Amino acid sequence: MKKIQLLKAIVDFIWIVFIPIIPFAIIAIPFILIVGDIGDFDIKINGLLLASKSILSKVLIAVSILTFLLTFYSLYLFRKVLAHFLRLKIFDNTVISLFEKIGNLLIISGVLSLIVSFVAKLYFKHKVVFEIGYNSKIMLICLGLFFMILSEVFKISKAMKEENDLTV
Amino acid sequence: MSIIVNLDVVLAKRKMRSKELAEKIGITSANVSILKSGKAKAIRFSTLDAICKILDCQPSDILEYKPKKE
Repeated sequence: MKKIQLLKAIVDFIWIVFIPIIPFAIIAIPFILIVGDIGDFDIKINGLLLASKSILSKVLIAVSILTFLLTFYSLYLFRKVLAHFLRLKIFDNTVISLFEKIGNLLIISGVLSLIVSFVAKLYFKHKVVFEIGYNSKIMLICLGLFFMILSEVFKISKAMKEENDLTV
Repeated sequence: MSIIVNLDVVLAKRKMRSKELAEKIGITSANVSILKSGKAKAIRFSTLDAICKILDCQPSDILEYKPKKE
């Protein structure tokens, strides 16, 4: 169980580090879309400077912030899963639904960042780039699918555990 | 499930209590209660063997197949 405590400590640390950014990120989305003039800021998405005052760059930045928020929310749900594991509630309905939620969030987040990256490069650099690598958004989608599969595996395991518990 | 457990009937005929049976066959009273209530998903041959030995009966006295009406 020491491994899970170490994992929980790392996830908690990331959570604490990122928490002060969250209110700004939430405020930033309507600000950028409605009021803000982002022309004065040097905002980069995937190494691409978005200094333009166009609506597209505003939307791209807002979507990027939304993706960050979604990923962060999945981290929060993962913390909940780890808390359940520490209480030895492993094959629980909550854990199964949390895994499914995390999977969905990561897939949505991965697809959105893939679209943002693709559109930004197409519009600002006039290039069609499809990245496959360690840091690519495809990995995020794969991770999301992995969590969804994990949810299915836990569902089967829960049924097997119940069967085992009810064997006399 | 279509399998009916008649353990309570056999116990009543033998005038034996669930707790006594549990102690004699070496399982918990909770497990006997699961078996009696029909919530059990499976029964081990060793448990069935012990029950039949203690209650001096056949497996068919305890388990019965009743097809479900559809």
